[in-house]
Amino acid sequence: MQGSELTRAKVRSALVFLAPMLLALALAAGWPLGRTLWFAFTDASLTDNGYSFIGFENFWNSEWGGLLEDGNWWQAVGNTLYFTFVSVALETVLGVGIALALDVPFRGRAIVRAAVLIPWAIPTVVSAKMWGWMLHDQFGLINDLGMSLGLLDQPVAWMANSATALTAIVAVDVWKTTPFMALLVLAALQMLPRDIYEAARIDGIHPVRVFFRVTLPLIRPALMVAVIFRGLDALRAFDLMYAMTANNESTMTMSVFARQQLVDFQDVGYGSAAAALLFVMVAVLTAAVLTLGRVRLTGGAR
Amino acid sequence: MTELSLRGLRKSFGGHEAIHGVDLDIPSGEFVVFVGPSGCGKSTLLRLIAGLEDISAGELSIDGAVVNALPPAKRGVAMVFQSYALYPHMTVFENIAFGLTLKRRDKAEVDRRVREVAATLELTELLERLPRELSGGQRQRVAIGRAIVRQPKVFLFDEPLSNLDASLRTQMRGEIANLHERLPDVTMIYVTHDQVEAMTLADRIVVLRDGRVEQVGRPLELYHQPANLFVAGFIGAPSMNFLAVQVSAAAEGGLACRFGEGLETTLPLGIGGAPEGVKTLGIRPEHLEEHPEGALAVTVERVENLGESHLVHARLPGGATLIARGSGAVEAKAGAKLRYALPPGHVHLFLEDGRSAAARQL
Repeated sequence: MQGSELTRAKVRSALVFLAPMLLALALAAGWPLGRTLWFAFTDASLTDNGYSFIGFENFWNSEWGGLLEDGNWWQAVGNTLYFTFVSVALETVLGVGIALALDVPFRGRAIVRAAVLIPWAIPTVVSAKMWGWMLHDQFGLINDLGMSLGLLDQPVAWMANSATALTAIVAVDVWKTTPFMALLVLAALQMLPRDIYEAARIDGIHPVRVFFRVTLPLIRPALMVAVIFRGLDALRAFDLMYAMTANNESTMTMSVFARQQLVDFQDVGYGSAAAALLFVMVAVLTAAVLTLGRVRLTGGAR
Repeated sequence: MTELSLRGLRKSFGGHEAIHGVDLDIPSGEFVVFVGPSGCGKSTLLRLIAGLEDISAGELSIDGAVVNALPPAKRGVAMVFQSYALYPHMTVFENIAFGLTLKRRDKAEVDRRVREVAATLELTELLERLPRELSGGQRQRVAIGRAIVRQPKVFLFDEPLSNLDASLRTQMRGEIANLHERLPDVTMIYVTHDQVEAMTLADRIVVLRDGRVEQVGRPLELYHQPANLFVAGFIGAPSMNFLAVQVSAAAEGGLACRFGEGLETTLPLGIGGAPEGVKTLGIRPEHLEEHPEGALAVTVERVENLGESHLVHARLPGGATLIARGSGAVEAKAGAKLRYALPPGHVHLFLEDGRSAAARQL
């Protein structure tokens, strides 16, 4: 970099301030990531000490197929994508709705705003167990309510049934994470100038049209950031599924699959291969969304 | 004919009443300016007319129909905001067209009307720009364009020029005056705290203070016949000089005015009531005449030469201050003794409660 003495001094001091963070990141994130990527190309296992480099055999080989021919893996990929798409879509729509409601001044708004955050504040494992009990086939609140309201003929084993288990998990995640979405959208809404809404009122523009033509375009940058955060979160979802259904194949996500290979089957190489592929998929999807959504994380989108 | 009528209009925010019963009739096509110091309720009054705030009590009618319960859009009003209130993500064209497209007019008609308005406001070349790419004056013109394009019956301006710099303000003031001439049937209500805007634009000025109307009148009426001390002090710059005075009927007719020790003069004026009721004498700086035998002997404290005119800040023996304006430059220095005469035709007399004593020349 060319520049004056002053510029060079600024660059030097910036590096000094950044160094501890870069070091911490390298140790806490870089090293484990590098190790995982390395193990993905080995036959390492927790049951014996030696391991050797085997190239891409964990991903694909002619003997037993590898990850790319593993039906359970693709089921996990499918579950994860379904979970991500449906839960983030519902959370976005509900979050925007709740944020719009909370943006209107009313008595007790501060209390309601705080109360909305409760599901988000409860640890996932706690809310998973709580919902697990409410969804219990014999003693659960949901079945009891459904029966007494006449919505259900007989108790449903929500978590045991592969058709309903994933839907139930999506529902719990929506319940838990919508407040996060609502809060981010509310913050964006409160940044909007008030006077343009008064101008729209004077011009007699229908509120629905104002929402789609004015509010939505103006909060889009913040909304895209929230959706990306939530999407990344959902793609590596683990705790909710693991706490509610353990290793059930019908709800298994990519992270649960990787853990099962690594811990239950002690297959470090294969599990690392799954984790590496998960990492690549998340990276590619994020890049795709950022490009398609023309989002600049540092500033407004346009 | 669009007649606007306010009857006992009141507005409370919580327990606090901001507008204490305003009565006003505005005939069609009139340019009315609400003026007053900050917090006098002028913007609130405008927002009540616009329908942005609920009316707490009283009646607002447009064209004879009470519109208290009508939403803003149904009142046939358009408003220009102090902050312009342009949609930041829309181009100038979209900003102007946004209020129109709703009415399901065909695209060509919308296009034609937007371009027509843009042409009159010299915005044609800016139609594809975003508001953030415009200067303050251009933004203000877009805001005006957005209001005109809807062809409102009543045009509301909420301090439209206060975010502009001084030279642009003068230019935009001219454009608003032209707009009023071009649209003679449109009633315009304009809120400002700037008395120059009020004096130059208004057909009639409404002076407000603390949510009450102090006086309504033509600009020169307010200047020459202020109804009370507040209006007298508010209109005109520098403000009118106010002197404490003791008045009694003079033997030879007229009023004997005493400003303190040794300062006495008899003015050929008459008032309706008892002369003893007059407590304050007002005289504008530009009406004080320097005269060797003037009634007011003062000591000069400071002289401000402005080129085309000058201001003399002076003090009376009793301690009261006085500002006099004269044309051209003046040589007087601080400490100099001067005498000023009170031209009877320009003297204002006020009663103890602040009302004008309506002095007339004998």
